[in-house]
Amino acid sequence: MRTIGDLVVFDVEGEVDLYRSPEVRKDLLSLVSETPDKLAVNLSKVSYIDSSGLATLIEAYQKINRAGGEFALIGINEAIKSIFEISRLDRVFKTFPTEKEAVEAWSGSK
Amino acid sequence: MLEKEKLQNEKNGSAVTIQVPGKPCFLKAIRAFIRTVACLSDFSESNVQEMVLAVDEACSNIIRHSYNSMEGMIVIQCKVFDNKLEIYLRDFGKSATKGALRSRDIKDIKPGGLGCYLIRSVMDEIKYTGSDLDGNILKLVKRKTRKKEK
Repeated sequence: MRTIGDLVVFDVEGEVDLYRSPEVRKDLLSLVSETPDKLAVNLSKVSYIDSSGLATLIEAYQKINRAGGEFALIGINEAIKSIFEISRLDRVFKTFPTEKEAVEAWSGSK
Repeated sequence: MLEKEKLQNEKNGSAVTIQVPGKPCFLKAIRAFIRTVACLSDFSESNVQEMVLAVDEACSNIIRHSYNSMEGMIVIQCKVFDNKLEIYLRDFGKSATKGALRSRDIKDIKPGGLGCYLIRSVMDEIKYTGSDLDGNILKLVKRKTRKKEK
């Protein structure tokens, strides 16, 4: 976990499948329970994600939303772009190509 | 006969089979196998990614629902044809109910239940046969999309 200003960034790397997603879920939901105002998950170093990984992101997004916070994904790359499009989650999550853009976009908002 | 044509003739109808323990730590090996066969069969990169995703999701379902923490093997067979790839996944666990294979409405944003939707979205043909004697077989077919002519 990293903090850039008031933005909390959670980094994920490698392949997020049924083997790996329980660990990612545990760490991410633990961070969500601290109710950060602005949480972004950086996926730029993720080379594969399956439905169990997507389910983890949906769970975190919904918990943050319910608590009145903001949630976004950063760096959806070519390797994982299609699963977000097929599942139409690219229309659900707020996304930013880079961390810099997320910080700039959110710096003015509460 | 051109070398490429000769290779395609040799591959047509060939079957490649692996047997893998039904455990999450082997999903990476399953994905690598499907990627290799699909690339050798001259599918586009986007088609390769789709087949890798579909097989990974189907095997995850076998591990979670058919074996449900029990020990068991998954037999994966790929049949290579000029115009398509047929993938057969066989397991020896609990058969799935009809309802379990239906994809849910994805407009309902919630965690879970996306796997079947993803499989159905990316594959051209899906057929499931559940059997206590011969094992459960999921047949997945991906047809080659014609490349646009210049």
